[in-house]
Amino acid sequence: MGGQGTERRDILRYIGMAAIAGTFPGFSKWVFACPQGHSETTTASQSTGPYKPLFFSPQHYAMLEHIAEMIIPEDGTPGAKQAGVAEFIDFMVANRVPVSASHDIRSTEDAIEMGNGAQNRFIAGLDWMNARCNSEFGRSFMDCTPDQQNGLLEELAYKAKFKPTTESGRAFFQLMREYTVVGYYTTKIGLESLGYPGLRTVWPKMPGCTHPDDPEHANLREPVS
Amino acid sequence: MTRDVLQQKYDAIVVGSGATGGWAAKRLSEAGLKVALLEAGRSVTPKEFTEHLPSFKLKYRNHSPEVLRTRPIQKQCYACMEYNYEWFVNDLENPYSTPPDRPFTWQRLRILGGRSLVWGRQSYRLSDVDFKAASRDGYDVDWPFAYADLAPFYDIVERYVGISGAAEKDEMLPDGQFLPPMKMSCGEVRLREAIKAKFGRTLTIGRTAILTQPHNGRVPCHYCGPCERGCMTFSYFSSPFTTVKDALNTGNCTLITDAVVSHVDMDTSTNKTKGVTFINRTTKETKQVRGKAVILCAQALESTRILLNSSTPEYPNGLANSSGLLGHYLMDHVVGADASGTFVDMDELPTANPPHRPNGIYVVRYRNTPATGKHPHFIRGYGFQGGASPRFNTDAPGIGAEYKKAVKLGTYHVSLGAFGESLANFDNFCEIDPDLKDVWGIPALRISMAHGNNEAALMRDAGVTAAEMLEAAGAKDIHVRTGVEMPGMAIHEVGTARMGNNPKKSVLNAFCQSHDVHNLLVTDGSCFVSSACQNPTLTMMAITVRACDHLVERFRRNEV
Ligand SMILES: Cc1cc2nc3c(=O)[nH]c(=O)nc-3n(C[C@H](O)[C@H](O)[C@H](O)COP(=O)(O)OP(=O)(O)OC[C@H]3O[C@@H](n4cnc5c(N)ncnc54)[C@H](O)[C@@H]3O)c2cc1C
Ligand code: SF4
Repeated sequence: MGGQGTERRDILRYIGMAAIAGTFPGFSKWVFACPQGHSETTTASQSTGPYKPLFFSPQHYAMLEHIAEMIIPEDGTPGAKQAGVAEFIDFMVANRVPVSASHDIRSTEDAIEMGNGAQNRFIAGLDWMNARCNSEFGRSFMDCTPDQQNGLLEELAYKAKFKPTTESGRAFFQLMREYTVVGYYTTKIGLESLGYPGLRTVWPKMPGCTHPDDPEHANLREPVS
Repeated sequence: MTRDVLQQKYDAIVVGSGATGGWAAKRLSEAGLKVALLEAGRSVTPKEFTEHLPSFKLKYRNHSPEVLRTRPIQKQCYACMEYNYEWFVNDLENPYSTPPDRPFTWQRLRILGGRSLVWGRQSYRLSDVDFKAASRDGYDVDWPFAYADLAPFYDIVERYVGISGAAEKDEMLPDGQFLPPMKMSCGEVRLREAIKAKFGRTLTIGRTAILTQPHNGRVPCHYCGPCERGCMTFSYFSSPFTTVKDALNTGNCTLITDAVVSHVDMDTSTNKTKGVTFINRTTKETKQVRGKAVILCAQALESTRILLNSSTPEYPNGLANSSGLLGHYLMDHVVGADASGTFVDMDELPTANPPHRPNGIYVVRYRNTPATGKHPHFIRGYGFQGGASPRFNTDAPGIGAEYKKAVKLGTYHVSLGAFGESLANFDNFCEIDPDLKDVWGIPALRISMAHGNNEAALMRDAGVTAAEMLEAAGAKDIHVRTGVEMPGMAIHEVGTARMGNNPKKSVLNAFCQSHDVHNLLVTDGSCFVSSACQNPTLTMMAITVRACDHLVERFRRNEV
């Protein structure tokens, strides 16, 4: 078995990996759950104070955080901000890691190029958003009203609202959405928004299990069969 | 390693501890032979299994750039990921080359257990339609044995491994010794019924090397899902915790890990092998092991590489290559055709709760069968793997609360992906690249393979008929692909040291024994004569057991 590409990968999900367990298992927010810190460079920012972006300027970082929350807002379940999506994006972009939600990256060359290209694409995209707001509303994105911001994002997100002049904005939005979706649904918060109850299997005690003391085992139900 | 280990003269030296090597070691040592099992990689322990580890506990949430940096080729395999990439070979240390216009992706593991640690576990028998395909359609040659010769060995392997599946009485896919089948989803049942009614085709639950009940001291699967990250309960078949363990328990088998075999050593006076030379993976020291027989189980291309690197004055073009065919007839199932769609009228919601069935469905080959007759455009056929289930719809359009809801609501997804027969072709081959060596200084392979017109025709037909079947089941929004992916993509590479009765036209005899050197065997996928379209590993294991039992007989008769 093998093969790549969107469909191939979809098929393999049924065969080799479970749709969710393989892709989105999670117990708590990544940044805080990772004991060794998610990179040597961030250990300082781990324990105290607000997150210090590794790559983005404070202005761009604030925009990222804001746009991510617009894409996945708090609505009964926490949104992107609480799930630390902007931190995720900053970390991945700083480390030139390609990220894709909907399909796996086809060729390795593409992946490397994507990772390397992401830094420029993010900066150019955020600047495009500001330029667009300046020409439309006479102020930068963060200074626009929520309605104006929403209007702009919807022009980039919904086919029916696409305009010929927003092509580069749409490309940036795609990128931003991919990183946001992955960043959100790989956290415990994101998973819980989908009803994830924690680790569950059909066996409460698995002979040979190497982590029987994992608190997650408290959630295991009695064996079926 | 003590000196004793290397000073002993073994009855048999088995090279490689994967799906086939594990069986060779088990079978031979249980028969009382003294066996040395050489494995190029390190050992593996269940402590490094991560099937229950959430991805956010990984530094890059399973997107590590290290994987891309050190495994740019291995990464083309869906199963190579931040969790487990160290099991896969480091491409920087293990190079091979291809002609620029004939790319081949070679996905492999060097660790105790080889690819049995991450394999997809799909296990299907071949039938006489496969073994005697040439007699039916005139292309190439038949296998040197018939289904009836291999059937008892399929039985042995299945009974031990534990294959869950359902009997279907379809002549294209012989039934086996099954554990209870896993359940199909509602969408899969719907598809099964629709295609049976409309086309008379068989869709069955995947036959998989995963336990659905306690079996041979192992416990059944607990449906956590991501098997390619290991299984701490050993519920799917991987050699280190089954065959290799049994071999070691006999007391007759000595496992030598970190032993990268470079070549087979010949005793020219007797025209027999006297053992193998290996290089220690970490210290890079060169060592020898001596034995009365050598069994190569390093996987199709690696075993052939070892033979090509074992030239002697008597065998200038590679050991056991008087036929000139060693390295030729490389095959790998053709993939690239699939269809997917949604069952919009099924309202089952996706769930983030396990259980997750680690298995799919299988559509049995229906082209060029005795029942369906000859197809006008191509020979041989293809089968499908796939599945149907509700899934979260992160691809939903838009933003905001509306998007979040759409993700959660999900879609009921259904898909089928084809695996087609790859025809045996002399021009698909591997050879030694004179300018390329691995980090141990062992000459590396140049692999040259391309799928041909028949494979392309198979994929065109497969895409169309897959869509037809989804449509018959009422799927909407159907997407079809009918391409041909780069060879290697199926990870089912076989051939390069084919079996046959005629020493001029084959490298091995029907018992995987070299025609040229009688105490040398190759029992992995190298020996395949045709690729059929079923996943090959079950057949490789059955062939290995058959070959090993035959070797034991020869030992008993003092012929080795
Ligand atoms: C992701 C994935 C999914 C798969 N899914 C399926 C499936 O569903 N069904 C199916 O039938 N098949 C599947 N396969 C293929 C299957 O894994 C192989 O066919 C099978 O493992 C081959 O067995 P083998 O013993 O020949 O080689 P392997 O299992 O690869 O073992 C070879 C061993 O030899 C060792 N070795 C190599 N070179 C040397 C050397 N020079 N010296 C010493 N040791 C050496 C290696 O380290 C390795 O341990 C899949 C493979 C992959 C990677
Ligand atoms: S799904 Fe089953 S076989 Fe796979 S790792 Fe989990 S328990 Fe093991």
